[in-house]
Amino acid sequence: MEKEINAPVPGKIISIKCKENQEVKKGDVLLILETMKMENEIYAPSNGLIKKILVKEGDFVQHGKTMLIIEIKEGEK
Amino acid sequence: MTSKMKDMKQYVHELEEKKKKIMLGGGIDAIKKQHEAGKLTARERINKLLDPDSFIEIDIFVKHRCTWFGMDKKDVPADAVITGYGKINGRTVFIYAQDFTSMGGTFAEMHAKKIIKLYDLAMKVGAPIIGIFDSGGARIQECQDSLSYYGKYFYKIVQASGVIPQIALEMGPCAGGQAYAPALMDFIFMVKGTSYTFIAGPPLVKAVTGEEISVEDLGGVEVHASISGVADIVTSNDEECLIKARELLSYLPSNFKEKPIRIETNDPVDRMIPELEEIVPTERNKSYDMYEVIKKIVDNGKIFDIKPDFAKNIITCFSRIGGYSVGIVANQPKVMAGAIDVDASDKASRFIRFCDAFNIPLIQLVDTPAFLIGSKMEKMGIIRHGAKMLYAYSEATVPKITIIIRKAYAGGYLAMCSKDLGADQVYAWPTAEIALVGPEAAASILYKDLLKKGDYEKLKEKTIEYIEEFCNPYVAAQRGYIDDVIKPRETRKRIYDALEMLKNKEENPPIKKHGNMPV
Repeated sequence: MEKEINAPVPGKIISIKCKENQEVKKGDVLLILETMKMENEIYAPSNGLIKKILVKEGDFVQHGKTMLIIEIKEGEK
Repeated sequence: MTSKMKDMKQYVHELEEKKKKIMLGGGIDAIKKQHEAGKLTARERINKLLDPDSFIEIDIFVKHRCTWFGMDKKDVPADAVITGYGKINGRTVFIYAQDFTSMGGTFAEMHAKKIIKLYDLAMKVGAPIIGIFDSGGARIQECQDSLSYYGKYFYKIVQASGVIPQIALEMGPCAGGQAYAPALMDFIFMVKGTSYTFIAGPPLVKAVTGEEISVEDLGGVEVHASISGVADIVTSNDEECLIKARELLSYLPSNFKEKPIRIETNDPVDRMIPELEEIVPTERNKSYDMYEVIKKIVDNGKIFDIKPDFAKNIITCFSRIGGYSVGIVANQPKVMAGAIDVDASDKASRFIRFCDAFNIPLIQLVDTPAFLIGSKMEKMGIIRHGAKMLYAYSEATVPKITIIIRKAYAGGYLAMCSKDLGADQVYAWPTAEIALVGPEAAASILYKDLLKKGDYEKLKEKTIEYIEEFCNPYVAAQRGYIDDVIKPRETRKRIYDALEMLKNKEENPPIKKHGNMPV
């Protein structure tokens, strides 16, 4: 199952901490979104594989913008 | 003609037999089904919730009086709801539990009358009421009577609101009109896998809107715990739900005239917490977990979290400090930078009003860059929602103690209960930054000429200057906006000292019918 990771707040991508095709564990920091002058870490919601990264460092993203797509294995929640 | 004489023994035996039959609810097969669904029966739930052998049942013999649709021949034991009173930790509570084995726990006229009678008693006595919901909804056979009694039931819940705590345990389906009863009460518990609530179930949704959706996706625990915010407490099974309900009551008084019970603690009130100075980073843009801060401050690290998975950018929980029951409202810098959005405003405001209604002092731990800005928030009504927090804090007359940990900017500073909104004591850590706007925004306006010229070097210099001069607690302390600057390690002691000093606080707001809180 593919899951989109959307921006919970508007802000600026200041650092991307994962690569496409990388296995990640639940709670891993995927990227850092600066919002209201604060670093906001975006975590993996479950174990999975990074399918696609749709943003690059320095991008401004709006609320709800899909930043990356993660593939979650069957049975993982 | 005289009837055959019965002796007392026979009378008593007959009574016993009658009660035994009713107490079996829908019968052995139905009870088996209830257990197979992973649920306890209504009577088992009551006995587990209350102190052992303390339950006294009333209205066991109540029968429905419907004659439509063959109901004249239908027996509904206890009319599908068990009502009575008992004790929790030695304190009186009233309880009603819908019996799913008895005609699906359906709600109808006499069922409602039993609950309403209980409400009248609970309000006279001044004791909390707990409802256990497990019902197929309105009993269709009773037509308008079922509908009318929903209305009478809601009316009664609203009359009791703010008089006695009302706790809803949704331990099965809670659908249709029924869903609004818990929504009018103070706290809603849900059980994973077995409880769901919606105003219309999947078949009706499909018929009317064409949308195909499962029970779980429409009104399961996941939806209400993290998206709708309907659920306050989520538990894994019936037993855990009942234990948590007992725990919640320990923080609450029995009615609005009482104060919560103070429980002696072995955790020293003057305990210093040097770890706090490690947890909170001094870098202005780094986040941390506010739960760690809270757990270090409170008695033995124990909290009772309300809506933990909804609007995680604000934390609302009950806890104790020096044995005093307190309600804590704290920004969570780890989520959305601790900015306050529409859901966080809603979550906090309802919690603040509950604490105020039931004499539970409020503690604020502040680290917020303000209300969340942007077009999405404006369209969602951040003005209307954010106003609720300003309203709730201004209105609250319980002791209000605010600790500013780091950022307290703009509307967020006010909304987290500044001195101006009636905080009785405000303390700031030396890392506190109290400001109208963040330093970058301030500098770009104050030195807009530099911005126009594109002299970013100089602007940066000026921003740093601004941070050094204004982003500290001392400017606010000079004006008396905060009462003291404290060492982080003293936080627990200082909150306790303030609670102790404020314990007899009285405040008399102007006389009125009631205010008009933004909703």
